[in-house]
Amino acid sequence: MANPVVTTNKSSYLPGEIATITVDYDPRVTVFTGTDQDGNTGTVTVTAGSAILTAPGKTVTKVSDNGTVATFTVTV
Amino acid sequence: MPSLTFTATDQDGRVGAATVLVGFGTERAYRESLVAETYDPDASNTGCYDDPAWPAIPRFTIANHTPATGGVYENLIIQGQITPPVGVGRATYRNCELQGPLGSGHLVKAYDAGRIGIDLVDCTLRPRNPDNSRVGIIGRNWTMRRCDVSHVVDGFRVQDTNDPDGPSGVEVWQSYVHDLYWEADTADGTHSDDGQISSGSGTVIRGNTLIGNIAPEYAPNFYGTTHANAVLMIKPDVGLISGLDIRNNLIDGGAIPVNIANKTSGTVRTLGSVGTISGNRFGRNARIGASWTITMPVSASATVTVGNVYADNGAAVTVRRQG
Repeated sequence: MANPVVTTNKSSYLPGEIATITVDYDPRVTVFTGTDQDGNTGTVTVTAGSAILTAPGKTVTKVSDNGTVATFTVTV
Repeated sequence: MPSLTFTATDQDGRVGAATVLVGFGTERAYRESLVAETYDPDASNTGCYDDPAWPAIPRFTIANHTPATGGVYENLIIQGQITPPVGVGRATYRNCELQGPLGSGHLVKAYDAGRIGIDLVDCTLRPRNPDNSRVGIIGRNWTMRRCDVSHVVDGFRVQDTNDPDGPSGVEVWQSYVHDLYWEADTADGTHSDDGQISSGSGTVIRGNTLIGNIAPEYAPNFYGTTHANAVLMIKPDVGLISGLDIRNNLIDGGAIPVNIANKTSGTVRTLGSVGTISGNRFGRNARIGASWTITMPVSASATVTVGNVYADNGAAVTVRRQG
């Protein structure tokens, strides 16, 4: 599992400009295994993911989060 | 430098971050705010802009290029040699990728007499077809500022066959030279240098990061290492050398980081006072060892080297005298 990858739509901003930040992250993966009376097994895999973003002194707004990629905006 | 760091945390506490600049609308504005000799240039602040805003600006690929006096050429990919024409004045290249020709030639060839000057600003010099004779920029009457130079046999070469002892007109500022080309074309391979000064007076090399290593794809070299020959090779192969102004650079690697030598074969040239070499900081990664960090012939002035130290502990560099 890797650390989240944070990318921005620009590398340099003017004060007051809105930055769009994308966080690409690995969700938690859980495998559930079921077994019947004869010992046959079946599995189902579910993922659970979410990410938060912080920036010192700034208000961060989450725009979207699909469990693996989250997008935020921040007024710089 | 005003900056803002975004920190992301996922559901399991893993953390990632990105830092952006604040206060500059473009990377060019940021670059132009940098004060020479107050920082060590690296890949993040030299060469072409990587600001995501820049790809929106069309970039054109052109072949061999002859600039005009007063010309300002921006956002170009140049797949050929830049050759200044006969004339007066200067031409500027900014945010250009200099990839050089596929055949013979350099990225910039400026060593014929009476040519206009060339100024490279925020350019990346990396040949698309490196070979054992291809130099980043060679000649006289040129300047380089905030450029990223790699994969050439010499990052830059200062020489003037027409007025070899006269002013070179060369200045290198805030640039990053690293990852040179190497091949086993002679007994010990190419003598790749970040910069080779072969003639002229008044050459300025200030506030740069000069790393004397060969790129990983060419390693190991003859000695089984990744060291280049010299970081700065100063030898009067073409004409006398004087009035050097080599200050406040970060220098590391090479067999000998600063190698000053007389020309002892053919037309013998013996160096006297070569100028100022001061305030430079040195790494510890030279191949031969610390006692050779700055090597200078006995004939050359002993008073030119003051204030050179090792970057890790501030210890003074002792000049090695020989021959």
